[in-house]
Amino acid sequence: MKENEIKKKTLTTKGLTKHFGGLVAIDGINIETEEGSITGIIGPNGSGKTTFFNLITGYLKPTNGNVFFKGRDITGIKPHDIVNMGMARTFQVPQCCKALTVRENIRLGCLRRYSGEEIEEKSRHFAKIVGIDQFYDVMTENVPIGYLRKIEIAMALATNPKLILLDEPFSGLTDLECEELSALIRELYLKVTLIVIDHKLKHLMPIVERVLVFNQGKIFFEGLPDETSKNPDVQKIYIGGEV
Amino acid sequence: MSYKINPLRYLTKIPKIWIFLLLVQIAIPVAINNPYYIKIFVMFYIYIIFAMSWDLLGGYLGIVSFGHALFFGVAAYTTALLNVRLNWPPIINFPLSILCALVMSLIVAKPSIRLKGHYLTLVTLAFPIIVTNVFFAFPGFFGADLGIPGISRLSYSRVVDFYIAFIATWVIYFILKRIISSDIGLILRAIQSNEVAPVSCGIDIAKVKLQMFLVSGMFAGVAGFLYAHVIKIVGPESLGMGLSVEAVVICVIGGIGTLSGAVFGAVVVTFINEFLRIIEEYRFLIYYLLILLIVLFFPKGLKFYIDKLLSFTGKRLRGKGFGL
Amino acid sequence: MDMILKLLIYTLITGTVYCIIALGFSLVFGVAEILNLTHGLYYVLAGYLVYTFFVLVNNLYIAIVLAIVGTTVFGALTYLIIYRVMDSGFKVLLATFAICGAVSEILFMTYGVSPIGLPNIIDGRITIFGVPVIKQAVLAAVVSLFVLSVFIYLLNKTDIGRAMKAVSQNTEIAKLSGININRIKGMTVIIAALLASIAGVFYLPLQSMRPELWMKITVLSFVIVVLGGMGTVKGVLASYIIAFTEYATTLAFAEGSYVKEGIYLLIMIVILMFRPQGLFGKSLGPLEVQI
Repeated sequence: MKENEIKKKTLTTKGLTKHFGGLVAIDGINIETEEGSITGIIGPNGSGKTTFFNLITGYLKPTNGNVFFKGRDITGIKPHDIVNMGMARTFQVPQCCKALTVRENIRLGCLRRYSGEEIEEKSRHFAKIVGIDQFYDVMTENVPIGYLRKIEIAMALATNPKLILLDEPFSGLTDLECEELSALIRELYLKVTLIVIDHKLKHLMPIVERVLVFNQGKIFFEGLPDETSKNPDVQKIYIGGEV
Repeated sequence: MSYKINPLRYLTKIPKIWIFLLLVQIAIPVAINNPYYIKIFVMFYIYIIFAMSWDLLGGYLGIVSFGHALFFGVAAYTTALLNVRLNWPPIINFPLSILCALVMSLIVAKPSIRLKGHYLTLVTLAFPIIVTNVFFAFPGFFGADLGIPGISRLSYSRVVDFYIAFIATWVIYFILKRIISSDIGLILRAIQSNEVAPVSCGIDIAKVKLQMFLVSGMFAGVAGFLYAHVIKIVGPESLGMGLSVEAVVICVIGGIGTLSGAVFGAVVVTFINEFLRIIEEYRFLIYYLLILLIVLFFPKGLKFYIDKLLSFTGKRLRGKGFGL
Repeated sequence: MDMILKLLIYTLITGTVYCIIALGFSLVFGVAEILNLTHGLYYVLAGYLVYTFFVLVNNLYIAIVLAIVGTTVFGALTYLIIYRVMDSGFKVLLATFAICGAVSEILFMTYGVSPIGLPNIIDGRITIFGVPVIKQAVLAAVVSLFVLSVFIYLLNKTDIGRAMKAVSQNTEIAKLSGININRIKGMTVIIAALLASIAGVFYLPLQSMRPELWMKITVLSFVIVVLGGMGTVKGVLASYIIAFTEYATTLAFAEGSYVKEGIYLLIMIVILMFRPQGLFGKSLGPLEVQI
């Protein structure tokens, strides 16, 4: 890949590898993501999807390989610095501060991007976008679990990211809530680049442009949502699962 | 990044009761002529400053230190040594004392920031022991068990000492209040609640923790400096676990994580200490038993339970109830 | 060569005694997840009880047995208090500190501030490989080794021992298997008190016994557990490393005996800086933010 080509892609990984002692969790992953695209990542449990996210976002140091974000080598950079460069992520278990109110949580997200009176405005704005303004001044530990993910997304949006990584955003949500979330993701599409891990293919496939299938730390298959669903090998690695 | 709030707007919000209490304090040395009692008040302010400095770290940030007296003691020993060995006056020693406290804070902060829970406690316990070891290794210089006696007074009169401590206390209170009411305070509470969240928001939590360590250590140093010139003798107890725990106990009594709680707690502890002097022989024993009692039956702090009690009658103790 | 032999022999003896002191602490810390500051107090109290009973009954052997029993009972009492505040490690620290302070005060009031010398069970010296060693020290090491072996055997072979292992690995699953967690936690505290009191009874005649010693012993135990982990084998190694560090420091500098504690504390801090989970703790997952 040439230098200037790397710059056009939002996220690139080259030979990304992670070993935990003897276990090879991620084995030489090379991906490229176009700006404004939306990519889905699926794969059986333990195939390395979350580890992959952890590597990209700086929570883990790769054993080998590099990560490039907006053309810049971010391998080894601390997680908070990566966030400030424009990459946000959510976790399987929403990471909000239970001891803070919803407003304060979102405000936390705004602190690095906005200042002064604007912070309050923006906090309200993001709360509205994700649909949690009815809980605005409620202590987060009292907010129903289903809304925690929305708070986390609001916090991520507040950091004004160019790339958002969503880790199993649909898990634990009802079908209706999944529809709401899909609508929200669709709205973000083209304004930010998105990579979404999930198992709920019913909701994931309609919103992504292409799918990466992880298996045992490698990218097993890459393709359009339709061809991925229909591929017999992909179906096989989901033991017993329906694709 | 600046998280400023307009100080003037803040000043107009001070409730009348606080202005009244401030005036009462200003009047104390005038009303009470006994130098011994004035000294008790000065010690009271020293404890408040020390406890508040602990609360910033322990109550807001959640870094519970059982070795906070280290910064207190290092500042105290610095000014003691400079004063007694080189005859330097307090006013010159002050910045140097604070500097030493800051350096010590930096040293302790480095490992502490990466640790959690019991390992963090161990490290905060370990540093004072290491420093005390060093002091005892050079008994000639550091005065061994006895310490360094013969420190000069803070100022030419007890009354002036009082006002210095009084002003220092409320200036520091104001600064700390400003910090915790601002967005930095929000970050502190966030870090204590869930470290991942502020990181996800792009906040450098290591830097914030370090900064708070320095601020906390600095103010503990101020308390230590004042202590040296008021008590006029400094010994190894000034960095000891007993004093460290006293800061914790004061904050627990007043309610951890409320600055005014430190004030309340200091009142209670000073009062109890003086009261117990009557039974000098059993003083410490009763003190420890009281700590046990409080931890067992009033873990949320005496203030919390008294507040609850009084709220039945519609009254509230000074502090959070008055919005300050 | 002479120096090295001395170092080795002394390390072996003291290290073995440290093993059983640390074993108790590691049980409480690893299984019950309690940082029990009174641990060092069990050690010291046992010594003072020997002194008290010896004065009363004039028979050293009876005094020793009574002291061990007494301290173990005291350990059970401290668990009664710890049990009430176990939900918060912070409260446990304050409560156990208060207990130590209170008991120390009582000891100060009863026996004064001067250190007390406990009588040896066996007087005299023997020579091991040309190194003069106090017989009492060898006795302490032999007893410790015996007790250590017995307890390791019991931990692995008895139901209670296996239950403890289960609790230390996964409290939830242990609960589901019908293990009474609180009872197990209580057992660890009592065992810790028992082990520490045995160590105290045999080793204190070689030290100057003061109430404040509790702090030193607690910190010592904590450091050994941090360095040696919860498993018994590595803990044993760590005990010897600490003992070695102490003697090496004392022999190396004039002021060595004052700073020997500081030295191993510094080593521990440096290790924690590079491995915040201790030398043998579980690696922190990515969600434990590493900064």
